[in-house]
Amino acid sequence: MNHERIEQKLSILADAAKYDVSCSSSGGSRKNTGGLGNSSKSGICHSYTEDGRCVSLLKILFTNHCIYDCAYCTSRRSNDTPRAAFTVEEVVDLTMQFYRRNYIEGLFLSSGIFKNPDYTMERLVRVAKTLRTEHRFHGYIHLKTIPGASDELMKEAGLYADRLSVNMEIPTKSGLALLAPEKNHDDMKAPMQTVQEQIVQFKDSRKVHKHAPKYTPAGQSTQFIIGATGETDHQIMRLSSHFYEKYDLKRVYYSGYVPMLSDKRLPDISTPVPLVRENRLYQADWLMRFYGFGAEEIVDAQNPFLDLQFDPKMAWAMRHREHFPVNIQTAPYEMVVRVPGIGVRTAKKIVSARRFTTLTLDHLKQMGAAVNRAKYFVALHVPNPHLNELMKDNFRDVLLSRTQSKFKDDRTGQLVLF
Amino acid sequence: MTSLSLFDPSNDLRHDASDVRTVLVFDGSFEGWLSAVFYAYEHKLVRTPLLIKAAHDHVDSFLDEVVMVANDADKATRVLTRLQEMLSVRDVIWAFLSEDPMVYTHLFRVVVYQLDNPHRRVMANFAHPDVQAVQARIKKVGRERHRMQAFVRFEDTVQGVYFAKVNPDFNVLPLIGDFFAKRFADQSWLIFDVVRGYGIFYDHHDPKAGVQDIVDIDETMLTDHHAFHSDKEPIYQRLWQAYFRHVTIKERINPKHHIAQMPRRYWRYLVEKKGR
Ligand code: SF4
Repeated sequence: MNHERIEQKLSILADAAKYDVSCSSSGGSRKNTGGLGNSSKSGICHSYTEDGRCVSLLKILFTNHCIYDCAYCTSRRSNDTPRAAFTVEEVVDLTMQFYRRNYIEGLFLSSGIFKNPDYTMERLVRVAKTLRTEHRFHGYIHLKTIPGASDELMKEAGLYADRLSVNMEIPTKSGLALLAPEKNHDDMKAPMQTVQEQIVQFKDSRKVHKHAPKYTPAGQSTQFIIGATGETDHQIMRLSSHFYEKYDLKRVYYSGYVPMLSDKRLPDISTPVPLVRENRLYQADWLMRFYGFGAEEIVDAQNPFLDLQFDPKMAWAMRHREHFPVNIQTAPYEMVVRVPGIGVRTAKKIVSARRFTTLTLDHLKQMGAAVNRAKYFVALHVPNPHLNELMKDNFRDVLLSRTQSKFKDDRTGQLVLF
Repeated sequence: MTSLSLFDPSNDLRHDASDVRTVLVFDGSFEGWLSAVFYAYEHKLVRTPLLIKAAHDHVDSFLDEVVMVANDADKATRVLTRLQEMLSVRDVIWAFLSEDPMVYTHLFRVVVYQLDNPHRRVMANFAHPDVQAVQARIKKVGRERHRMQAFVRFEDTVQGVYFAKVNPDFNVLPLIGDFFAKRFADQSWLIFDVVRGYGIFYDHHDPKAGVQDIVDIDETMLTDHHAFHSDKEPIYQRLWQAYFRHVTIKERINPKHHIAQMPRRYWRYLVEKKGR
């Protein structure tokens, strides 16, 4: 193998893949049977990029040649950029060798569309199949499905991959029509339906045959680009919530649009990346998945955008002060976890510890609560002077002046939330 | 560490000078600690001011009554069996491996607290100072273990063994052997803790032998391991470095976040951070 040439390809094809923010390796459940690799249920970040994102998988495109011309994508055919394509063997070798050195949890393979969707998808499936069957590789494999590929290939892909994703990229129909006129919103959703049906089918057959193969054990995910078109957070959250329910998605990723192409349909090249908005969307997404919030509680038609100054849980609490204070000693878990500054873990500790002890603000702090926020919303067995602020008209300003510095540097927060 | 101030161990262990404190000193091994716990019960010291210290942390003070407790495998087993009935031994061992000078005493007090309350799961009382201290150390050890799973970087050697050096803050090698053995079942590997001077080794030709401790390794492996690189090794290191350079999105660079996730002390053995 010519390693210099491979280094060039790797550089080009890693570069082109980096805007896909998903890097999760969680939810895998493969057990090693004498070969290489084992999944870690919670996933492992083996490194971090200088922008602070987790590096868990070898995330590359198979090729950045593409017959389509989606305005938001660096691989679009009209973009003047260096092009490259791997062979199946090269991707397999890189994955194996990186995995052996404990650099990665596995492979995340996506691709531009060359020739036609099936031709491309067939290559991706072949990489996964070779790794699994010839190299006995049990690490994590995430394949991005190619819009327009046949159902047969989608079905085969799920037998070798731990996760499949279909990136919606542009959340609204009108946005997609504007930026990717060759694509169609409904066609993009169709593969999600196929994958979902397969998952259900395979689950059923496993009930009868214990050794029936698993189909995408880590489920499917999707990604939205944020800020390339005029979509509202309300539209995004509704769509996410719809996807979580209808297709049982494991994750929705939000990728703040990085302006890198000039095109009059797109935000100006000097527009900053909407990092705070992206962070707020992840926080809102967490509220839906782990905190029992409904999409409409977080944003609605009257307030279609997330509050950039406050995290969405705090914003909700400020709009709904009638639910507070929450009595830390007696309130049900579901309410404790809605207190700003108290996360899922802390809420569980509180519910556990209060059976032994009467809790104080100090205890909350010990257990990991952000007391500087929580203190305005909780009732204790002793009077809590901070509650005086709660019903004041200028509560928002009070909070802002006292907690602002905390939010100033709030840039990414893909994992560190609340 | 301000968040721990309320339960600062040095606070809650302060005593009047008139108080005679007993210090049980054990050899630093888990068996030694179990023997010390046995000793405390045997000699009815449980309700008196008592510290348990590892020999390597212990500094003599003439105010204390110091007892060197000898290891006793029998007694240790008896304590362990009793603990297994009421506490998670995993919790105890993880906290123990933090090597924190105070942890042996905190653990002892949790044991006492548990034995006093046999029908409650006392480790769930996150508001109790000793439980809190032990939980905090479990968390730290768990985090270090996770980081080792992430940051170990194997280098392929001419001997056909994948070799990695690590410098963990806590003694976590005993907690990661199984993980690596399962994952890298078809290659031989050796992870060496340069701080504590020992390693764990897995031979894929002899999987039944499992993960073995290893103390003696060729000195030059530690000082000049490049000499042992296989032909392929530098190539894949270069490729990994190239990959790492190209995954960063320049518009989003955030050094503070980067370092918070991947503290500098780990960089020394990370291929992708070499020369940075
Ligand atoms: S089809 Fe995919 S790779 Fe091709 S231009 Fe559109 S988004 Fe980019």
